Amino acid sequence: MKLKECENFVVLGVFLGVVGLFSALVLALVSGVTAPAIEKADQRAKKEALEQLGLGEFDNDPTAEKEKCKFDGVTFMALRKGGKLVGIAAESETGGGYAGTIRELVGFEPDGTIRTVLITDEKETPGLGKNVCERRNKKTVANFWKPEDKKLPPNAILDQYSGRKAGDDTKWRLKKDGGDFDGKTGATVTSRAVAEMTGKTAETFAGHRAEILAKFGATEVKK
Amino acid sequence: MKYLSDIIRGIWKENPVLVLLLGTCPTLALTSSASNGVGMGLATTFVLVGSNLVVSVIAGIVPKKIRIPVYIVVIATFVTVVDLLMKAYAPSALYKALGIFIPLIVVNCIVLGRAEAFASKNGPIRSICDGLGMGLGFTLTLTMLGMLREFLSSGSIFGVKVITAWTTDFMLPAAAPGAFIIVGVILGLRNHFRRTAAIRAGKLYVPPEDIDCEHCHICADDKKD
Repeated sequence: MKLKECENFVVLGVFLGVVGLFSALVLALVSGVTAPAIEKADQRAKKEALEQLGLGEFDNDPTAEKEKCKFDGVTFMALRKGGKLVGIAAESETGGGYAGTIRELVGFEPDGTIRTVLITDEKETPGLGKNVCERRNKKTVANFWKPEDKKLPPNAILDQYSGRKAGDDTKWRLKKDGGDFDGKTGATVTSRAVAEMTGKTAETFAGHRAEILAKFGATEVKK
Repeated sequence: MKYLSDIIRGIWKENPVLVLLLGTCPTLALTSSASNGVGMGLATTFVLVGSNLVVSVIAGIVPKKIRIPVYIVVIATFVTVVDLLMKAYAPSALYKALGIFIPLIVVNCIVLGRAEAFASKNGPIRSICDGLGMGLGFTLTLTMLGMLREFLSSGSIFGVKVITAWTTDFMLPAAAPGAFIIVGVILGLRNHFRRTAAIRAGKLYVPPEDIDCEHCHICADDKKD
């Protein structure tokens, strides 16, 4: 009997099973081969983001387990240079965006002042919510041939948070909600989510600062 | 020569987006910028060539009753391979932009459509050519559409501002409704020119053969019963 015309469901089931098994084998192989490269790409992306925070150079691996601690869903990472604490990066996320999760990386100086706010992952609407989150060099025909600026591209919404700190009577809301920060027209939901998330991160850092600094081995706090 | 015509057919005469009208979901969702169009097109091309090759090889032994699930497994395997490879080696910005759409290649009609309508009836080399042609046609169309939409919404092409004074984005072409409008206008123009060309040549305009159901057996089998 030819396999092509077969209608016996046992044979069909076995055939499908064999096909599935074979595809699982292929996937296992490819997954095994790409796993180290994926890991490396993740690490690289994370390190680039940490460098962009502008907290100064660091030579440790902030993503290593011993340099991390977690409070209220915010992960704090220590950035060190020669063993000395130069800054703290805080990673947090919110589901309050317009679409999906927004992930944020905030760079703190040891005294709790925000240096830089960076959105590392979002799925906001292009042209609206994305403009709140994106830091991107504007390329034009005029500057096309010039070498790219190494500085972190500005973003008016995110840059508002630089230099602010929790406890300074800062209201972590949009101006139209009675707070201190501007939102972007047409992207209120995203702006609001970013303001709330940044506020929560800053408050958490202020609330647990002694513990965090003790964990990172930097008890002396310059006033 | 036959191989070459297999490739060229996919790019123009039976362009998957503009003529066969397949794969509309990625076409509309992903062409908000030109670079997204290129990335999605190339990923789909890779899947198309791979699945066409495998399907043309195994078509002879796959039982007729379960050929669709078998093809889907083959396609899904290729898509997952692309996903893993892109995660590992593609620039992180590109993966971020395309990430959620890559798994959707599995249900892209072009891939299953070519497996069923072409690869299962032709040899491996012709199937590869067909996959390549269809994939390139898809990529070119997506890139063109992406360039058009990007230019109309922000005055830039591939992220480079061509009109420097254009500072505020015009949202319509970059959003989904704009995609429908632009694709509709392109289709309308294409049909209009083809019809006038046919009438001028004294012929009746006949759409390409592959559009009718005869060449695809996904539902035609039921009709025969």
